[in-house]
Amino acid sequence: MRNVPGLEAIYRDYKNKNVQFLIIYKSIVHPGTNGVIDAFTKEERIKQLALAKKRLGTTVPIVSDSLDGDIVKALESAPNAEFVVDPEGKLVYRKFWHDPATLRTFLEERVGKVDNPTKVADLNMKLVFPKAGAPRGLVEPLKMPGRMAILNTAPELQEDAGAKDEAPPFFAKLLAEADRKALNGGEGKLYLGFYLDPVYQVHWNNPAGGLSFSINDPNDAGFEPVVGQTPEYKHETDVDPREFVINFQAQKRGAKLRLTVRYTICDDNGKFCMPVEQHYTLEMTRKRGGASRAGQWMTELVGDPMSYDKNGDGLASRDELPKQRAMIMLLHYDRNHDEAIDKVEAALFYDMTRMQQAKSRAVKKDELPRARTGGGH
Amino acid sequence: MIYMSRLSLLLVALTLAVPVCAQQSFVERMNQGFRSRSPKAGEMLPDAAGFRADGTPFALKDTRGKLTVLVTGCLT
Repeated sequence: MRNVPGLEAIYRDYKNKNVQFLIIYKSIVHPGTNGVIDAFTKEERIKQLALAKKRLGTTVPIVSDSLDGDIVKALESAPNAEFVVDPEGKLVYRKFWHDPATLRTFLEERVGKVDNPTKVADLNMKLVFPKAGAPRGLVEPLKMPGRMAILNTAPELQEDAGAKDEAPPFFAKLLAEADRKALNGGEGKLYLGFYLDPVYQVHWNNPAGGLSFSINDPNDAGFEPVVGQTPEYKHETDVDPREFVINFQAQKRGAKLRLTVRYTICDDNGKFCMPVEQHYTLEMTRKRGGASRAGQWMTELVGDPMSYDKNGDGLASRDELPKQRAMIMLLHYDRNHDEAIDKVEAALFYDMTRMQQAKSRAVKKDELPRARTGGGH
Repeated sequence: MIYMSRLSLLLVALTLAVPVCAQQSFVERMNQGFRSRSPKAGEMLPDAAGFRADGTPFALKDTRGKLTVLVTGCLT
């Protein structure tokens, strides 16, 4: 939500005029943005709320939608919509994309103008990112092979599994996407991304072995198991996502598969390191309301960010980016928070889109990470 | 000749208009979907539940009694 400072200014002007404000934190449209991926549990969502409040520096109260998105479904809301409701519960204003300027105009007409309205510039709001316990940007993001759709996935949580011992949380969370061919049960591409959840403050323990996964068919419908493994990294640790793009055939549309993932993490505070094995149901159906991994849609909006590198120093800095888009571009893709986009960060923009299709180099079979079919473990 | 130059101008105009239209259609499509499905001004806000930052239950109907501004977002 890049327009939070605008909302904050209105909130400060009207909160004492018998108007209440609520931001409704909802499911993430582009998982992976700034390392944030959808919470699996209510406890995780509560921690995300606290992190978001700190990062955005807002004092506007935030509540959460249910994990199933009941509020957004009831409102049939767009990703960043706004509504004004009168004291009796009747809707009096709505807009599909939150716009502080028009909201202020509405409140001025409804409640009255304020003397000396708060200006965004006066708020001096800066995004504050929690300090990661390990470096970012050491593992290059994968180039997506084409337009993909987010799949429905479900973690096997402890209560579901009926385990007696306390299971570790999902430190790394799965984002799975598939192209149209794979969704329709044919041979296509499957993207698997495992993102460390910032709420747990952990990092990968690379010397202990990489991340591996296997996909099996619990219904034994003749699906060949698929396994994959990250390469060996020379650096000891980082917090970058572990990503795979594999050739994939689900056998049939809507197949329900089981994914197992193994990895080792260490706590940022040095309290523990642990190997983890976790399971997901991977359903070959499109998730409602899900868009694409962070980066894909951006290309359509702004094109290649490196084209703004006017002085040729390999960085598209804030000063070089178009004024109207600099904030959103840096907000989403400046992974190391140096107020510039470098080539690695920009790689996220090179995904196949309408604008980049001609230039984009699809991932070829022999370039795929060490994923292979058969075997399993 | 006049006919040809007019045709050329039309083609140039169409070529320039395509990328703009493509971008507008994405936003407009989303806006149209919102306008047709989302509750309209004058209608009662439907009720649905979530939870507050401290974990306690929250429902849209809890906002009654004051003029309320609701903004949805994923706060990334």
